[in-house]
Amino acid sequence: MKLSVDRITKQYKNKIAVDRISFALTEGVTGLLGANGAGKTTLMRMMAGILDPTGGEITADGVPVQTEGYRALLGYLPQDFGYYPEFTAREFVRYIAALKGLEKKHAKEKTEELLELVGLSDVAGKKIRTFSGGMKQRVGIAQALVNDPKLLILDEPTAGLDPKERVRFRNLIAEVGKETIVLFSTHIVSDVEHIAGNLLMMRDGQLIYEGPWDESRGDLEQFYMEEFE
Amino acid sequence: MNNLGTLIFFELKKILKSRLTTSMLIILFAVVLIEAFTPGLIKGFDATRAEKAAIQELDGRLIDDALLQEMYPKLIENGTVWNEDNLKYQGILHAALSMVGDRDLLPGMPVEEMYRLREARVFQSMAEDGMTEGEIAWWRERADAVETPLTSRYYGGAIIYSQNLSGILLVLLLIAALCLSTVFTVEHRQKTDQIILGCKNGRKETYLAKLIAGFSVILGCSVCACGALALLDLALYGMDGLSAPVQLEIAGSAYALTMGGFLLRQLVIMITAPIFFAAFAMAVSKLIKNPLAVMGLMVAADIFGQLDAIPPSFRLLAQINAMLPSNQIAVWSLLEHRLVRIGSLYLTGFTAAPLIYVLLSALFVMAGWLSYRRFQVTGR
Repeated sequence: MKLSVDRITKQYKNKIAVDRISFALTEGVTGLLGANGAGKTTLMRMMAGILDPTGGEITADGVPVQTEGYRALLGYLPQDFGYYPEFTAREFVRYIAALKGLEKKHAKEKTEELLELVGLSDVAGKKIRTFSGGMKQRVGIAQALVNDPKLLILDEPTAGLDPKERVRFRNLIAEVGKETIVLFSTHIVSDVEHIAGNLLMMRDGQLIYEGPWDESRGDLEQFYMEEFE
Repeated sequence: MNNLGTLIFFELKKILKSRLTTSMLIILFAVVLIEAFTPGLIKGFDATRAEKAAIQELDGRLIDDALLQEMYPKLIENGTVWNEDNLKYQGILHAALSMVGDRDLLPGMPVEEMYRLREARVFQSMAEDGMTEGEIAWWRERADAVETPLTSRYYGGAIIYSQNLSGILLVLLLIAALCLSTVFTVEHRQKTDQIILGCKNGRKETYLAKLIAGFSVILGCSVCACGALALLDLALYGMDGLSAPVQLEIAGSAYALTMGGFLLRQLVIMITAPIFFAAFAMAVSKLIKNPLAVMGLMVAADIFGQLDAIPPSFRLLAQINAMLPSNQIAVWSLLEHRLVRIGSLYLTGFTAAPLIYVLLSALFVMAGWLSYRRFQVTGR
């Protein structure tokens, strides 16, 4: 599958949050790096179809972002998102499975499989309000994966995870990325440097780097620190 | 798959698991109990039963000269005190006074004069309400449908039920304002909207599921409360008198209705008005993104409904006020004769109000959909 982002722009009154960005992605993990306020979240929201761009277009194998067909391919984990405190983890993932159009029996099986995968099967029947930040983040990851997405957009997914959970999560994403387009935003270089085959770097709404990291340019973290200082 | 059934199930869960909803359901059923028991507790259940038995002695008798002449000496002998001797005439006197308006005029008044006076007062009130000649002519054509002399019936249980529905409708308004105005806004407040809108069924199906869940909750509450109240009233007071003409209670009404017919019309209001409340609460909170403002608007509309000082010269305002659910459900809606004109067709309030509620609900639903369809996740 090919995801095309063509001259995408988002302007709020006098501020251009994303400025004519174009790139194309295929299966594999792509890291999206940038400091806070660089426009990463705005770009990802437009790619998730929840924010209309001012200009440009986004398509997945020719399917426009505004359509149900595009959303059927999508898994999305927003940066800052909430839960229904009265729902259990199992109920929440099943609810999202229904929203994603999964058939009831399949949704049930997939929910159990993913809660096992993110290490929450023993607390699946507990209310989310009793969970720690890291556990809530893992529920978020499970919901994003429940429809076996062809395009997975993860906005700062490692926020709130402890070091052990981070490693576990990176391994999971590397595995998912073998058959899926994964776009993973972060401002922590170590989150993506070992699993991302491709990098996008944003500054002030513009793309300043695109492609696999060129080792001849030196250490990625060093480059990042210099660029975003 | 659009999974509409599953989505409705989860939306119902979100509404019903809220503590506010639980509290409101408890309040609703407390009000049902209070409404059902209060009339009996005030008058005393034994006294209510005695009154019923006494009035039922005259069931089926025409309120004619013979009956009035039989009643007058009993009233005079006993003054204004009701006792075993004259209790059975209580309903007749209520109807006669309601027709004549002055107790002093009553003894000796021929029954034909009494009914003529009733009709004259009905049409006089229509003129005072600023009704058009066309409207008055419409009612004149139907004046004969109110059969006189009226037939005496005991209708105590039916009227208690009818009066109790107002209290239930008020609680339903509060349930819609407090519990349903957050159906959409809770997703923004809890930041779950981003995930929902990014899903295949996150737009049309979710909007539909939320509406169906909201309507199901309010209709479920209405049906359960009306049903429970009917069973309680039936057990405590009976439901006799469904065939009694409404003029026995409200002599100034031009409606040729029985108490049973009036109750049916009230039950139609008890279905359509909560749909209207729910549509308003859900759609308008979606449009203005502020459930508190929606609650305020709904309470303000209810207070406006209780203003009875709108001069009839402000015809439109007075008629809107009369057609608000809180007034349309009340027994005095039998005195609301202003008609709604659609081309050459005239509709009474009982016909027009439910249609208007459903029509407005459909408009709110469509406006809410336009807003939901275009919703963008920004800021945060």
